Amino acid sequence: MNNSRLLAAIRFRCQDSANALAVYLGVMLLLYAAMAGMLNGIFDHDQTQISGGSEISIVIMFFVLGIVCIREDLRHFSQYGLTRRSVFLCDLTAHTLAAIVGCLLNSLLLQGVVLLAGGSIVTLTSLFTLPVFSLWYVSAGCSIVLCLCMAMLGQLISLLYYRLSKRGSLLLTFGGGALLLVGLPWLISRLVLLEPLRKACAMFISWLFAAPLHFIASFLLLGLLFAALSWLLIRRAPVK
Amino acid sequence: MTIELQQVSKRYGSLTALRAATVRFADHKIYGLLGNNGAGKSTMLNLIAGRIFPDAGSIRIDGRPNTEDAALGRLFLMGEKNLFPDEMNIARALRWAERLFPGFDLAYARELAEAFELPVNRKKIKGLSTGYGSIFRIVLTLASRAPHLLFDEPVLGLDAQHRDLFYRLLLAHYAETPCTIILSTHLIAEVSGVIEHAVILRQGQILVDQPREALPAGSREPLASMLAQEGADLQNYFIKLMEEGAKNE
Repeated sequence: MNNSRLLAAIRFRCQDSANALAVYLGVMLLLYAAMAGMLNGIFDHDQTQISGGSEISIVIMFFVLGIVCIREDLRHFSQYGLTRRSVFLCDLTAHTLAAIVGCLLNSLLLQGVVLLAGGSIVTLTSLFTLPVFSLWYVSAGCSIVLCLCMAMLGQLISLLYYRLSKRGSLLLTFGGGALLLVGLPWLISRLVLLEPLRKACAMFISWLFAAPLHFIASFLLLGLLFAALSWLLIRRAPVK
Repeated sequence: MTIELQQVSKRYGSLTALRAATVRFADHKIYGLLGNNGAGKSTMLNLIAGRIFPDAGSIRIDGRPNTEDAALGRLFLMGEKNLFPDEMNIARALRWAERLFPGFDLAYARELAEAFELPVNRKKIKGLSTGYGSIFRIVLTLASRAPHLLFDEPVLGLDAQHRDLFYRLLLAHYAETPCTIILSTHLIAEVSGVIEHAVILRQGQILVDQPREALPAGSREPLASMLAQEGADLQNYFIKLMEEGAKNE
């Protein structure tokens, strides 16, 4: 393997992801400033809350990055004779690095905003991390794994559409949509009636949030599963 | 230092694009990969460059399978399509080409771009006309300085002046940096004065794999007269070959 070309490809991907992160953090900073300003003017300081959802939004950003990057890189880097294995490794490495940097900066930004507000702002920023794991660096660690997992999911969905025929794509779109919007709620409504299953789900969720390591290990495994499936799809993918 | 295809086949659904093709592209030669539309020329080049996979057979570049980075790094394919990201501009593409392809000669690329009057600026690649899109890819391919240069319909959308310039620059490059060049085209007359060896494809099968001189009326025409259709001898031979093939079916 020609490492210099792989390293150059990783640099290219990291540079592009850094641009996306810079735009994201800039927008979040403006949003925080605007919300803090508005809320401080309207409410008593003790009651003020920010529901920025910053960690959810960065997860969504990584999901989109996963969707966009893999096809673009497959086409672009194939021009320079990089194999699919190298393209896959490049994206995996670049997403990991971007997730580490992005989540740490995002956490620091959030902490910075809270400190600047002098403790008058109570943060309700995340569904998964901050309220559960109060230490900021633990939250950041969980965010990193979550972002990486979502990037892998985005990559998998992108590659699925890339490999499927037009008919297959339509089937996936409508079938997948119907399954998520109709089938899944129906299934859940049926399954919750089953006592043992309900208990098992409750136990799993309790276990998941009981310790950061549980959370990180679970999403890391899920991310690895998505990555493995993506590899199966990309390894014989034509460049088109 | 060769590109070797052994019993390579490729099917698209019910269509056989390439049928058990065995061919060897030797070092330091200019090959003409000739054939009608749909003969399998682009399929063969894309297979060599690893952009698609064969259903059967093997492809080796300088002794290594073309599924390795090291093998693919020894060739540069100028394909028909633009594979660059939508937002990428010419200046950035050239800068990154230097990093992504060791040996890429940025100064030479700028020189070539100037010769073709291609502005190396912030203009997006996807915004280029068909002709300038081809020119951009020609510039990249020549400046790659790869040991094997593959051109798929390189003069697509180019006017007569730029086509002439392309052939002159190609020969100058070949004289300066000896390499294997494969020119895929259906414009037989145009390349007859440039190529040293012809590989003629018809419906996915290799009909002819011979040096230019071994073909009927095989004298090489001077470059200046090439565009004046004086290289029509090879074209006539090609048409005759196609007609005979059709009769035999």
